[in-house]
Amino acid sequence: MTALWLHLRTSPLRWILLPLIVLTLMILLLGPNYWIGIWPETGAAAQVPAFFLSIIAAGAAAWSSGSKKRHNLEEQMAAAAIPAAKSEAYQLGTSMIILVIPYLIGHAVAFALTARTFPAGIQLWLGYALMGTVVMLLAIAWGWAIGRYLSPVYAALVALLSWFVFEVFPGDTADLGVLSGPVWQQPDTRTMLIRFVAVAVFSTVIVWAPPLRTQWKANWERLIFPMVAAAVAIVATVGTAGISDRDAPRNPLCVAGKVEMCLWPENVKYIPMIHSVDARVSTLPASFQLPLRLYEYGLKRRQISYAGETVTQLEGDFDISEGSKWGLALGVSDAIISETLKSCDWDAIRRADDFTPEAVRRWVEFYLTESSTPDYRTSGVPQGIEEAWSAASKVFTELPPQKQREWVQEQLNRLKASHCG
Amino acid sequence: MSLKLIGVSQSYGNTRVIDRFDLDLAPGIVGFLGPNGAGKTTLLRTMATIMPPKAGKLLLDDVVITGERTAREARRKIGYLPQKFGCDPAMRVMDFVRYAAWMRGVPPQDWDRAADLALEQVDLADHRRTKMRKLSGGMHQRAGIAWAIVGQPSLVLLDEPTVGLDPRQRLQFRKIIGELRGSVVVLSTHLIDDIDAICDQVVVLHGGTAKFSGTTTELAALSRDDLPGNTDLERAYMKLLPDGEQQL
Repeated sequence: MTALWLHLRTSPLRWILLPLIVLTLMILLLGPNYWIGIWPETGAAAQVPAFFLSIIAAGAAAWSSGSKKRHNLEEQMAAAAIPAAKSEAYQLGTSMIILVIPYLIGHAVAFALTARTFPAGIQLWLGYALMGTVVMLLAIAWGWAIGRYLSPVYAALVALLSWFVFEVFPGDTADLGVLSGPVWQQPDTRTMLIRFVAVAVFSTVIVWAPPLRTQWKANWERLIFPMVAAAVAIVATVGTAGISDRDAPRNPLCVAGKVEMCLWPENVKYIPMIHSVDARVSTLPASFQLPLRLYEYGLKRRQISYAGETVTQLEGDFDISEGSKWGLALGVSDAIISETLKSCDWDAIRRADDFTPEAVRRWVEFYLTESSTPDYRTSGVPQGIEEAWSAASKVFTELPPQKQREWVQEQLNRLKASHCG
Repeated sequence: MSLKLIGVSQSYGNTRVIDRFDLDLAPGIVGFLGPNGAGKTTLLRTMATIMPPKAGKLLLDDVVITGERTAREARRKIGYLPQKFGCDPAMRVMDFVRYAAWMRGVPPQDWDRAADLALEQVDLADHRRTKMRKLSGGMHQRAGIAWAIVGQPSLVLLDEPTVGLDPRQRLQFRKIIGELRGSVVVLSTHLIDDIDAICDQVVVLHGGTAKFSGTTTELAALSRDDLPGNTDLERAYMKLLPDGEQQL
């Protein structure tokens, strides 16, 4: 038996291991499953439970940290031959292992589900796994520090609430965690490294910092170190951006068809969806002009000036993040309308409050998805557009296919006659 | 094994609780006897190296304990059981004693053997898998003694170990302690019959100073028939207390 195993089997936290595993798997598996088959989405989805787990972990670590006081073991610990820091390190380390295990099990399950197809981009999964691990470790160290210096009665509650506030406010702006992992973004490796080092330093300091009860010398002045370390860890976490844009791949995954559609290589799982939409594109009325090639969001870049600086802006023709066929159809329909009406005077169309292009585009969107009920919601849509969408919906749902084509043709003819050269 | 206290003083704030205390102990069982507040626990905590002396020296095997480093080295040889010792009630007895072995610096490969031996000594070998919260009062106290003696420390410090034990349990306790004579065993108590039954040497404390130090026979010899008490030791003890006669 080793000291670590002795601590693991006697840790007061061992009882919450199973409930936390269940909670993790519920959060991971009971939500949408678009992430399966795409590594960055897999990593991000398995990282989401860290938001909830870290709150519990902060409270649990504080509670565990106070167990020596609770169980009246301080006198016996003070008489120990092993250094106090070693004892503290084992207890904190044990807490970290037990509380991080459920999170890692979530990642293992997510990994197994995506590994069946093993697409490109596994390093992105790893980045998100590290991102959540750092959050978990920081929460545990935070809770431990609070439990070390506050009464056990209050420590868990204070740790839990303070971590929640930290996560929701400064943590949110610093990308402490993410809700999804679109392919054009990645956890910033340098940031993760900085955060990891900050957590390691913080943990080391709180382990090393002696308890307030003095032994051979007064310790009050050494309280300054954990406080400074906590401040450094927080600044290192909130002062760094967790997510950065990825470089566009040199060789995107281009799917040939009526319209060639190029994807991020990690999105290989969407090829059947691309084929399905392209098959619908190929049966659109002949009066539509089709673009030659469309790019997924992030594959195109543009340099723009912003506040005196040149920044790179990500662009694309369609976006199928989170697996939305509607996202794809929206982008493709927009590109088809732009191509079809490219010779038109758009300023004139706008001045005339003519929403016909939007009605036709909406019809194309319905046609490509073979449905009139989008999976997204809109709000604050101008009345003219709302009416155009309603008209398109009525056409799509109420008219037979041939009549729909006639309606489309009629709209395009009218538009071209009035606004196109 | 030897333990020496030379001119040791202790105080809490401005209140001096141990005053220039000298003691030289060799293997055997020593009882600290005294009323509440006499300084017994403070003295034991000093010997356990938890409380650095405010003045004077503490020597273990002729090594002066000067700071945390020497104190930790000394603690490998010290088994200390506070009066109200703590434990995680959900812990099994075996793990509780293993934990003590770890804290005493016993090598991991020896934990099981050391814990088994300690549990056999306190007659708890059959309860090694029992959770601490399920132990009776006497068994709980014996588990505490196992905590103190695991790894066979050469100095065992027991603070009021018989408090709360029924007569049968106290007899059992005396038997266990009696078997530790190869080490220096210091127990503090205010129960004279415990001292009489098992101690080779007795130190009577009052007001932070030793009023007597010697064998129980030497203490009994101080008895006078006109003093209150049922035994010679009780009468001698009362004689040593400054207000012993008035107390009754």
